Amino acid sequence: MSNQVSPFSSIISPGFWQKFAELVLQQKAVTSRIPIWGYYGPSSTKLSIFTVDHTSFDEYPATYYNQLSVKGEIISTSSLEEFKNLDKNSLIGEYLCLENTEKKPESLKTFFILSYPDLKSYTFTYWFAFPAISSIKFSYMSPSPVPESLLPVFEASKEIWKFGFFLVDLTTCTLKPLEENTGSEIFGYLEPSGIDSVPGWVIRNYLAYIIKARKLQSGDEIKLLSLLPKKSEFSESRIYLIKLEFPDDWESHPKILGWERNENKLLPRMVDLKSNLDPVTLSESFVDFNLKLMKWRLFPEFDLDLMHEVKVCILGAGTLGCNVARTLMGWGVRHISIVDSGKVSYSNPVRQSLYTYKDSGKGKAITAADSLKNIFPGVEAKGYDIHIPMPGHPTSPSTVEKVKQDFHTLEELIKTHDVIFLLTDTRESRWAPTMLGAAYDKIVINAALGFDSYVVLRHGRSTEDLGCYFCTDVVVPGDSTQDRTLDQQCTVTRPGVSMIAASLAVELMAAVLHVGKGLSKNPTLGAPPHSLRGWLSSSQHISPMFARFTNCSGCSEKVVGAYKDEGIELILRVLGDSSYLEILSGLDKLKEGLEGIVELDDTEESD
Amino acid sequence: MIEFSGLLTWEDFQSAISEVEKLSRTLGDNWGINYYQQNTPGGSYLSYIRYIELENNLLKCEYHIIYSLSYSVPVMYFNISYPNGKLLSVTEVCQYLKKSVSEVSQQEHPLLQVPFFCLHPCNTDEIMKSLSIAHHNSPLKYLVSWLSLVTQVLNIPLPNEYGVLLNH
Repeated sequence: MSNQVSPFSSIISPGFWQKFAELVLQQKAVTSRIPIWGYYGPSSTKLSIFTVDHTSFDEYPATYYNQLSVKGEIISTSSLEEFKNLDKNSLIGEYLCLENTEKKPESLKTFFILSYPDLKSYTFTYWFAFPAISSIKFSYMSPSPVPESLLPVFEASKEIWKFGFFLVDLTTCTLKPLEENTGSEIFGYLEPSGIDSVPGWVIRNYLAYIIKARKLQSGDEIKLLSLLPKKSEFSESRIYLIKLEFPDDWESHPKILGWERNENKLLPRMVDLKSNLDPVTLSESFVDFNLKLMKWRLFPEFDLDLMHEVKVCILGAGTLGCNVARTLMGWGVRHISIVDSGKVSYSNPVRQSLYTYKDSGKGKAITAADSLKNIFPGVEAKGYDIHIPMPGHPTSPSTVEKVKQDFHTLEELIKTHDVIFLLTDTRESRWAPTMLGAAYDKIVINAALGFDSYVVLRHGRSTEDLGCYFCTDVVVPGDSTQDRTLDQQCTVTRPGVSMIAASLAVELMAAVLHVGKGLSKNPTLGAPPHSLRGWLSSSQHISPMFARFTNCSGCSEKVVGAYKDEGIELILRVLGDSSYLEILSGLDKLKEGLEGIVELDDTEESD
Repeated sequence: MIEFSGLLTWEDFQSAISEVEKLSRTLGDNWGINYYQQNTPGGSYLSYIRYIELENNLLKCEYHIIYSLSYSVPVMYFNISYPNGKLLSVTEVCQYLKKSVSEVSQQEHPLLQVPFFCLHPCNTDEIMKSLSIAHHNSPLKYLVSWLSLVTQVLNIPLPNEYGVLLNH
């Protein structure tokens, strides 16, 4: 008795897991059983393929060409332990009930999947089972071709053989369903096996049914028609002579088998679908894909890895800060730190694009960071609620400790980030970051707004003779807020100006980062200008360049040197007395010099 | 309509895929129409499934010919998955097809809303224009010519018998 069968090989469509994940999430299932459809048909390879896909969970099975449907279940456990500890033998025995089979032949073909869906990690442990009786032994002999007269009948009676098991009446050349068994017909079935003379798995239960239906004895022989549709022909089908052998107790000890083998071992399988199903992973890959399109089609020197790795620190989470942060995410930037000591006020959300009115009263830095994560979960955004020390704003004994702490945090942020955006609302608050940016040679991009105008500029790096925000000033930064009226304290600007400046600032950063990447003679993003200035009402936009100022209160060697020597002590001194900066930078001497020149005697006459 | 623009209308696409399906049945092939959103333009597509053996694995390849409303041309969407249901990644697909990442893009399937690969349609009208003598005024010939091109790119077997439709 050769007894060989070709077992089913399961093939799962990605859509199956997607649907299953949705259902499990909705039902918040504890152990549950969901009815599903499976499909099999004639084989075009050496394997007998059994498939499940997204239609498996529908009420009615899909009609695929030459495929028949099988009713089954997917059982999900709520833990891996439960999956492992379930009694596999009794589970598979439960699915096959011979008495039922006689009355309802559908149960001849049955299957189930035992699964453990882990929807936190999107991994699915699963095990297919095709319950079948193995206590009957058989051998396939004497294959003979199907009589020619029968061939057109198959094409015409598709509905009957599509059930999978049917009767063939050779005398009338017709097909009949199993229920119409009179004893003279041949049993037929759709052959899922692709190997000659080796039947598919379905034969096992079918033989049990046949033995009962015809009341056969061990040693009897019967004819079986193995239907093999190939293209739209059936001529490869065969009629076999089957010899059967089975013990007396084959019904009470059916020896039910059917767990699918995994590389020849009786083990479950596991699939990790994080990259296919996890929405966060999907969002990251789609965002990246979009950026890569830019690289392939228009901007070959684009360095997406650089954008992923660059660490950006945004000082000021107002109109400029919010818009810069969003545009950075558009470029694929993933590390964004935001500094602001303020709270969201009712007037903010309309202009500051990371807040909604529900955020009013909350701390800006942290709210902005959370908002970024809501827009794109793959971003690492962190908010820092600290005060930036400002010249001319003295400390008091009660505040000095906090000032020191905040300064150290600021120092660390600037040291550990690659690009610093200065987007605060006063001139003096830009002083300390300018000096720190120069001390640690970081890329510093400054943006400031007027009612109708904007300036965006990048501070000169150590190798460049380009100036910073303070290089064009002979006045040191001091307390500018003291005597200002309310409308002077917050920058009142045309709403569009801040978006323009924020966009220009980010594009400037992108151009700076890509300088020197291939195509340097003709960089796609253009050579980064030093500064950009524009006026909306006159539609003017210019890009001036200016040199570093040796007596700059922000970036000159003298000032930076003093910081490197004294650290926080310098800061504390400057906070109390901004004129100290004049002395340090040499601006005081410069002014004296100028005064000398300016004092012309008006009364002198030329001779 | 087709001679100069290289484009196809939705109605013409529908009738063309219907003819392909009919022929496919007689040849015993499994090109079939999926009426996903029956009455919406662009809502039905021609699908084909085959299995390929790659390094001891049997991979399922699913191909959908979908009509693009924005480009007015047919577009080939496809997915290749392992038996356990996991999709091949972009790199794996490119390796298997020996194509570069710029020719094959991963997008959202316009009807099923799940990730699918597609052959980008932006040059289809140019290519079909250059073949315009061959499919002069016939949407069916257009589709079959187009099909013969994309099936070649993706190594899908398209028997010569389909050429019969070119003489319709």
